[in-house]
Amino acid sequence: MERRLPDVGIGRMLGLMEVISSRGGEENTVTLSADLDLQLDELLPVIEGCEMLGFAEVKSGKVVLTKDGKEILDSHIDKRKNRFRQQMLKIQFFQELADFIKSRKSGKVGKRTLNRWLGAQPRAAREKTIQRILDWGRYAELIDYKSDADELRLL
Amino acid sequence: MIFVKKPFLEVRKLSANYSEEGHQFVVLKDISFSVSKGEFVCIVGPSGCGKSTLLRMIAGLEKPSGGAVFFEGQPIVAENPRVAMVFQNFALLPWLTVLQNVSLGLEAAGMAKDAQKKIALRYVDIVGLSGFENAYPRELSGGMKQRVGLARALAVHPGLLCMDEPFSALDPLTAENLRQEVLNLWKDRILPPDSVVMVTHSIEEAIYMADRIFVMSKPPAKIVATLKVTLPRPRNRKSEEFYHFVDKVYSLIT
Repeated sequence: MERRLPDVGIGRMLGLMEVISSRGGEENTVTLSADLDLQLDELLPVIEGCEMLGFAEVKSGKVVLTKDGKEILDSHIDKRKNRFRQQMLKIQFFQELADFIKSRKSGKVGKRTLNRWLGAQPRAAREKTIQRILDWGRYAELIDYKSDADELRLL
Repeated sequence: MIFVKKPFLEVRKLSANYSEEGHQFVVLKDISFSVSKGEFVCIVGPSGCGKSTLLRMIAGLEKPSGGAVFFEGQPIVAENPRVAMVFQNFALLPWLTVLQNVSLGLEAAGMAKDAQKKIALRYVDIVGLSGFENAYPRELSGGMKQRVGLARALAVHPGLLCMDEPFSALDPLTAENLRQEVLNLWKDRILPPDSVVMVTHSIEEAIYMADRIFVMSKPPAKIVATLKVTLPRPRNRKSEEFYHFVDKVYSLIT
């Protein structure tokens, strides 16, 4: 089994949602790519991330903000983080990750164990996904990671 | 008795020259303007026009060749704790954690460790970095790094916040997100500075963010125009009124 997350950080997803919001809540993918000077292969992971979290949907070539997407843009930082956490916990990837960490006696995992959990895929791909786990997980205050000790745990 | 209120920030006949291999170069020439309390001001100009030099002089980081900068009625001095700076390339210390980087200015001010931590944590939270307290800069994306830069600047409770192209090292989406969050903080007056002076090469960005814009020319740079942006906030970059302002600035430059 291969587990992965789209290679995109929080700031870029929020940025894309803000751009779409300023255009009335929906925009053509190709227009976004041209206006933002982003190649489609750079834009797609951002859209994929927003979709995965339930903040946007793609409908016949248009990226459309969902109700959750609009709400998160209107929220302050703390509420944003809460919403992020809620949405992340709806994703199978994070549900399984949480179960996996809980199943460890120590309640912690290091990057090596995490690499094994991600399954057979190229190392570069695994590293990107680990980076995103830390990125999203820290932002949503779902996960704490101490790089000195290489310890990842649930909050 | 006549009471003349001194401007919050006053730049008076500022000039900057340097010489290289016997040639004298004039970077800034006779720059004068003032900024009031509560104003968000942008300085725009072509790249290489010396706007970063101007900002560094305003912050007291560089000495002008002529003229002077007055902040709260006093000549500006280096290390003024009432003035903070956000840098284009973040300027974080790689061997320190997020929390330690944010504490830097407080430590320099000689604050007790406990108090430092309390304030630093508050600003880490305000800029959306809680959860990253113990992360090192290398673990962060560009956007998160600039949040650290912002938290570090705000933590000292500056009266004046200087920002040098704070979004230009970020990809367009991250930049959009951070612009928005800076404006949210500014709007809610959670941000401590009374005033902001931001340097940018992007006319759209300046019109999107500023109350007033100073337009600089190519070197020897002068202020060629001052423009009050009267658009209500939040501003819509797709609106006709917005384009009108963009056109106006372009026509002033060319």
